[in-house]
Amino acid sequence: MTIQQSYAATATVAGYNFAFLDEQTKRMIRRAILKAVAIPGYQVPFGSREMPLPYGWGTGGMQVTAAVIGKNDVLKVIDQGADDTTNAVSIRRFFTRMTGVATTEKTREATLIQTRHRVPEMPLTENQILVYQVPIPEPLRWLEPRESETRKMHALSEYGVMHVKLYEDISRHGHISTAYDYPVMVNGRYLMRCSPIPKFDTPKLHMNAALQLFGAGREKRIYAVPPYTEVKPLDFEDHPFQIERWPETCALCNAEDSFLDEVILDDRGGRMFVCSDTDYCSERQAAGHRGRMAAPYKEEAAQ
Amino acid sequence: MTMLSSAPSSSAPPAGFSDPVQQSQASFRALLDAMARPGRIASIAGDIGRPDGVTQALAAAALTLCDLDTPVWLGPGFDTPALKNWLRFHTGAPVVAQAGAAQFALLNAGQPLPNLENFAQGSDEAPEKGATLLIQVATLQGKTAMQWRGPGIKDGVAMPPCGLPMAFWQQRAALSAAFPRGLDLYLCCSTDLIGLPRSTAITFATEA
Repeated sequence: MTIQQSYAATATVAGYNFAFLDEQTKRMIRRAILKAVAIPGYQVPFGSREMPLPYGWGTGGMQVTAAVIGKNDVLKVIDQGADDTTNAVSIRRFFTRMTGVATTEKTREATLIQTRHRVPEMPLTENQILVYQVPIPEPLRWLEPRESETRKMHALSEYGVMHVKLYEDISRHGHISTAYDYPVMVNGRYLMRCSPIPKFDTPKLHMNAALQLFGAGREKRIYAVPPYTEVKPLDFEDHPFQIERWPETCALCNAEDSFLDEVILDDRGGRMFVCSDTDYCSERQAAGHRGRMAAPYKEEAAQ
Repeated sequence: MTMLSSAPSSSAPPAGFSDPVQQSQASFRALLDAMARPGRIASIAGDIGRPDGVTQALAAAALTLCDLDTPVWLGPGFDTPALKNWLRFHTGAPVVAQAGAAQFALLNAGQPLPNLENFAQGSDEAPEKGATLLIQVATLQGKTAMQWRGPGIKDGVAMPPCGLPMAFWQQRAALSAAFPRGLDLYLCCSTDLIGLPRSTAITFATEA
């Protein structure tokens, strides 16, 4: 389906403005997004609105998407890497009804990608915008509960407390045990929380060609990482940042380089590992890659 | 707009966007792209009714970003009744007399520009309060005069003075020391615009 056909074919719901939000709200969000881009990693406060789903379901990401999206965009929505989970399906359907834009499950076809907790495996391009749904935007929140204090800490770039936290990890467990939501420094100035993506994805933020926008609805903050911006995970010289490794490859597409989900198969320890990024996995399978549990395909059956 | 055509008068402000929802979205994407990739030209297409002497890119930026919540300051050359009426009619933005009280400033590089320190720079705790300047320039071309580096720029970009005096660029370069406080700029020429966020560092050939 081409973009134009899809746009014309989809009936949007009458009585709502394009992309649900009213124009004044969009302007307010747009101004916040521009300031967020101009000050990489800094959390810009904004007047978050009620959305027709509860806080915690991606209202921040949705408001950013609604302010950015245009009728020529092709939208992809993922939840933990998958296009077909509840959160992804309901948000994609919401924007289809509110804008009539074309949607896709293919990372390479999308111009706008809203994500919950994953960065697509396929490298993004300059023509794409990635919108993250963020539950807690403040990286220092569990270390310092007072907003007035964390504001000051950001103003002074005073992040020693986070280093202490990572050091305590090492002294307790022998390694940095933070596995997701790994703290990063953006452009050498602001400590940033990259939403609960696994630390496997953290290096993908660094010098990414795409613009990355972060929206936290309940906490009323928007922040951004512009393209080609330095994003450095916090670590120590003797305990450098490391990403996860798995004992196996993807059981369906045999990928060695993607983030794997563990699926329990029975109560006797049977398990399989599969790609969390469904589009990446199906594209690899279509290209002929086979994991040890891949379904037997036609050419094999014919023999 | 039907409201205007049914009651035409010589003093009615020009029409602004013909399709405000889609045109402001398209303009915003151009503004976003320009701010995310400093030095790269973004364009705003379409028909935008605006007062004489105001370029399309600047008019579109003002209509897209300004509203009741954003005090606007009009610089020399733009402080005209025609522009004021047009801006008030379409956006409702309050026009303020003090440059330091404005969230947006509309500046014409054909006239002497005010000192950049006159504008709100934000604070270390709330840097987003720094103003956005929309500057209309005669050209975005010219001989290389400086290097821009920073987020959004892959390997540094050689930039011309874009029709602005070198004294202006010296002032802007000096502001980088105050980051995250600072000013975000758009240079608008005809339908084109270039974004210059405060995160961009400027160096001149002699320093390199």
